[in-house]
Amino acid sequence: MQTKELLGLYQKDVKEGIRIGKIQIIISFFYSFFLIGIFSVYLPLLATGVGKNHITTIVLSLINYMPFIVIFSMMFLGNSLIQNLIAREKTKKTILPLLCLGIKPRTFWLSKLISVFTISFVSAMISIFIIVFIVLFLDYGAIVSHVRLIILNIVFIPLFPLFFMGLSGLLYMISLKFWPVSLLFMTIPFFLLPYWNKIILKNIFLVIGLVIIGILLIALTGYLAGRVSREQLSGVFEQT
Amino acid sequence: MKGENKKMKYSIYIDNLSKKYGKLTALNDITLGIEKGEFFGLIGPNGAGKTTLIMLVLGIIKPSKGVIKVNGVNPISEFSKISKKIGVILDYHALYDELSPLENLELYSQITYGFKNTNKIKELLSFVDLWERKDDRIREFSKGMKQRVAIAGAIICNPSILIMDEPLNGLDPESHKMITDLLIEVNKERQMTIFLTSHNLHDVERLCSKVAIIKNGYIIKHDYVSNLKKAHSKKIFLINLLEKNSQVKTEQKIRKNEYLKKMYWKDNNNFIIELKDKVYLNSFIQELLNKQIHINEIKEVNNTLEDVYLEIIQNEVG
Repeated sequence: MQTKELLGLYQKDVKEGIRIGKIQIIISFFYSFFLIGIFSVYLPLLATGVGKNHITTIVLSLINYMPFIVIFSMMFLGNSLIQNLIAREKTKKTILPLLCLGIKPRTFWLSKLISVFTISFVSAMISIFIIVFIVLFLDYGAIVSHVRLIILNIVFIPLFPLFFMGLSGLLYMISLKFWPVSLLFMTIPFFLLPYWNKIILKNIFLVIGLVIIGILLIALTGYLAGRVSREQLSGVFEQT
Repeated sequence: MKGENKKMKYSIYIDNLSKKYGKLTALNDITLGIEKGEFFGLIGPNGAGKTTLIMLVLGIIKPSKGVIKVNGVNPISEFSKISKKIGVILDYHALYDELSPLENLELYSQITYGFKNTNKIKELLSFVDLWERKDDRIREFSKGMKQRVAIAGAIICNPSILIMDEPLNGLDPESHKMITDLLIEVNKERQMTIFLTSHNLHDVERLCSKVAIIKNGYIIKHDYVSNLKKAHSKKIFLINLLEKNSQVKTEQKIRKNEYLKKMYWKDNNNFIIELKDKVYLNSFIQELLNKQIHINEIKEVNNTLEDVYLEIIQNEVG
């Protein structure tokens, strides 16, 4: 394991990711709160009507949609950033000096993965803390009764987008032609949306099951990343 | 054993190397030896196979056939033994534009030494005269400045071999001079073997002791620059006339000479001639004297690597 090399690359990738991903970070916040507004506050209010219990409705909707916000925010930011970081390494050929310094494909993949995970996780957690703050302000008791869900958000849910970031990174290491796949991954939260309240949230075991499958798939992706050849990773023969 | 000793003196040893991409043969039976501490130039037209050869030497791509040894080891199967011993500089200055020179070098330092070697980073950024700009973003830099950062990045690991693909492309004259001076210093004082590709043959002539000319995947010449220039001497002489003559009349007399290939005036008293062969010089002079053209001095004009290259490339069929 190239620990020191990984640390150096990780620090570089976080700095570079934040600097090149400012617009994606802003978009991610904007959409997170826009979606919260539309799907978790406006639509329920429209359905139930504005009455005495509208604060309770808003609070519950906000809490229920927290996992969705985490997944959406991390899927969008993580996939777009990992795609951007790897594409830059390949098109600007910065990968070549790294390969000459002995960086292994798996170290390269891991560094990209944990750096974009860090950025997207922090970004998602900022959204979550804003929601928690709003809920605390509206109904303190609701937070206490939903501690389990909040912990689920922070600990388990991020592992699900982590797998897609890892897969996206792996595909990009093989070829930049896989860019539509990352776009596809970014749309996954929208497929989840209609079933969110009805099925997924009521089925904690389904969520945990998905997370366990996610962890196994991350390990498999990591194994495959180590099998990518230096030739594929260098991108020397890719049309750029 | 004798063959092994021969390989030991080379930093890069290539024997019967071929690379095919499907039906296309990019390199064909290349054999080359680059000695330790040598400044070696690989020249050839676009698409000749220069970058493919560099990628093979770096162990990035695998050969279809043949042997490559870099510092005595196979760069594909034993790359870990030579990693951090090869520096690479490319014409597209492979740097992280959104980071500063300091941050770029910190990355290479962390990978090479396992920590941010601030003394080394300061030494190198001062060496390329960019310490004052260490915190600015690379994207704000000119091409010459970026290339200087790339040199600092490439030598941070004290490599024994520096591989450069068109490093002097598109530089302004000041940056060009600064970078060529840096490369000479790196080669002489740090005793690095340098493998350079360039289209600028004046640079190659100035910097390299040995060159190989590559065309359509074949090495068509491989020798010391001085040997190539001697072997492909174009038999060019500068003739200084004793007295001022009418250029038109003199030229009319000279042009009739059967040994002459080309002539042109440099100024009123001096003209350049190219003979069909060097051995005809005495006969040529005698004929001038017979025609009452009196010569003060004859100097052999050294032809440039560019002359040699063009002659070789143009004469090479295919």
